[in-house]
Amino acid sequence: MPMSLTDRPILDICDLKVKARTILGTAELLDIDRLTLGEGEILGIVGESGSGKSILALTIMGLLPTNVYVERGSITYKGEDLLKKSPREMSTRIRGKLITMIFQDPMASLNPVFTVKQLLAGVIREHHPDYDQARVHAKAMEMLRLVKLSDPEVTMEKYPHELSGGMRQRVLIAMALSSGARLLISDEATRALDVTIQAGILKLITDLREQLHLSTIFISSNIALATSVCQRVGILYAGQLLEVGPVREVAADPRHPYTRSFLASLPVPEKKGQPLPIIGGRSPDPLHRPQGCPFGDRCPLARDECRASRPPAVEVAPGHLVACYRWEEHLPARYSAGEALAPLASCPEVEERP
Amino acid sequence: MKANGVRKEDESVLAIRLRKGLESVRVFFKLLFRNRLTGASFVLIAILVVTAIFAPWIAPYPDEGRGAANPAQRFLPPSSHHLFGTDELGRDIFSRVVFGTRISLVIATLTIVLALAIAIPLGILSGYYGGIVDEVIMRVTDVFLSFPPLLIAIVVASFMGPSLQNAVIAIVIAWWPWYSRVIRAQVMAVKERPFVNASKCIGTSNGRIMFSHILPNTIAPLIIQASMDMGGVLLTAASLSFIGLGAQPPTPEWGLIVSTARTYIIDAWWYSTFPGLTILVTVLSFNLIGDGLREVLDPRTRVR
Repeated sequence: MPMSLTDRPILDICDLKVKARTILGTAELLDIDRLTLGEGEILGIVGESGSGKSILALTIMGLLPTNVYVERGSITYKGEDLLKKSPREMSTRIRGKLITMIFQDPMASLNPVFTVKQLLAGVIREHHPDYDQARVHAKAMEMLRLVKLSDPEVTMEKYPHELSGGMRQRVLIAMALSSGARLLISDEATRALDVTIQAGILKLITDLREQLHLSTIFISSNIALATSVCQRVGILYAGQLLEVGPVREVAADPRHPYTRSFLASLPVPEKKGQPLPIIGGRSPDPLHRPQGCPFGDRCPLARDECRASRPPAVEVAPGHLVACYRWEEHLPARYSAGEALAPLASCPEVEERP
Repeated sequence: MKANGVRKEDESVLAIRLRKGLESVRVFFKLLFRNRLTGASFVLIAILVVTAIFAPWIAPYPDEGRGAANPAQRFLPPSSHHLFGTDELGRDIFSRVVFGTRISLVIATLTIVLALAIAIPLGILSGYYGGIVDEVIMRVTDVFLSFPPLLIAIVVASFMGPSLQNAVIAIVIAWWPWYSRVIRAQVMAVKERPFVNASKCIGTSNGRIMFSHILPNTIAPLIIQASMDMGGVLLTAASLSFIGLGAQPPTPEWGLIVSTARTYIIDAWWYSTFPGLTILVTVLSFNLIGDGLREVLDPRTRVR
């Protein structure tokens, strides 16, 4: 039962179940049937806090916390199953070399005691032990130019605290890419930045895709942001993919009631003065995931069958998959997202905080 | 962008680096002297270091400082010729104390460096890996920490026989567990910071993370602890010498001088008083500078 398909997937996540051992019992964190990332594609993963976005990223990187384990499934990177790799192989051959990651808070992600030059040189030496000093320097300069930092010579001598938020994030991206990895996982990388800087970083990610043929998993809690950079977007809820498809499809014609409610609850200029519709209830407890659709309890369309069994993914349009029994029906007026979508796609300043 | 505003057009990268270096040195001293006590103790320690280096030129009677007796001048009270008076062999006590500076500073520095050399790798391993590694290393330190350091030093020194080298080894054995604890706690705090995870994600090896990412972030508290301990180590060394387990005569070790002077305390008050005061002032200076460094090295206290 394919959830989504792309022509040449660089990363193929199949039947993935991730659980966590807690004192209260076993928590289900992720349950993804199929998710693929095409080469040179930016795939958005959107969901609220606790939907499993970061766990997905850490599963791919092989850096799960000790109480979290993968029950079954496979994550195939160019034909190799990452979940079958030893921790040693992940650290020496995969992380950094093939797959790399950037984080939410660029200040905290940069070691404060080193200058930009030392930070970059450290990563470059780690991956190219044969480089001499001149080559390391040249490579560092090249990386800073790649992420479009003005005045790379001067920036090199600075410490992270002397840089602005946007510059820090650029340095972090430069570090992440200087190892030669061509698959980038961006975990809420623009969240701590203000709007204009955010736009700059998004532009950079888009440019890097063209320049380096970089494939990116763009994790965000902001659907508007994701729609502005990604080719495809997946909606994650309670560890499950409810809807995945080309951005234009999902934004213009969302078929899952959750996606529609999610979009409708975003503030847009047209709805100034009106109260924002909220999604009633709360997401299901990871310790007691419902048998049926995870959104069942909050869904205005939910029927008995939705609560009884998990809806399979249906291909409603080419490449657009929805896991809902009632994808053809319309929501009650209060939930309709209809006209809100057009301005959304060009409105990256809406920073939604779940 | 704001960071570029500072840059002057004709300034080369080298010049920027130099200016930054000078600037940070200037700030360091400014902060150091902002607190008068810290400033004063810094000056005192500087004097001690200079004294240790130039002892033969500073001491008025270098030969006596090294131990040559001069029986004609026994027990002279302090005067312009003999600033601190003379001892039972007619040696100038001031010269002895000046030469003692060398021994005391070398002992203190050597001990701290050796203790750190043992403690840093163990502390980092313990804090970074946790689990069984941590358990084993920490239980070992617990054994040492359950005795007063001086007691351990005395036991070790008496096992190995009295000499200056053995005293240093004894103090190192008594001292390293304390540093291991400090480092471990620091590492445990630092390893949770996002940049460590970020380093892992871009493929940095564990060794590199431990020693080139975590260690530099734990060094400030260590410097503070070490400079405060200089006084303690010095005192322990003097104590060992005092009870006969450290330096042996005629070494001009401060503790040893005080110990010898004990016999003559009624007749020659100056004999024990001045070396004793020197120990007091030195230990105090190191403690105060440790306190001062805490302020200087903590970025949060800088702004105030």
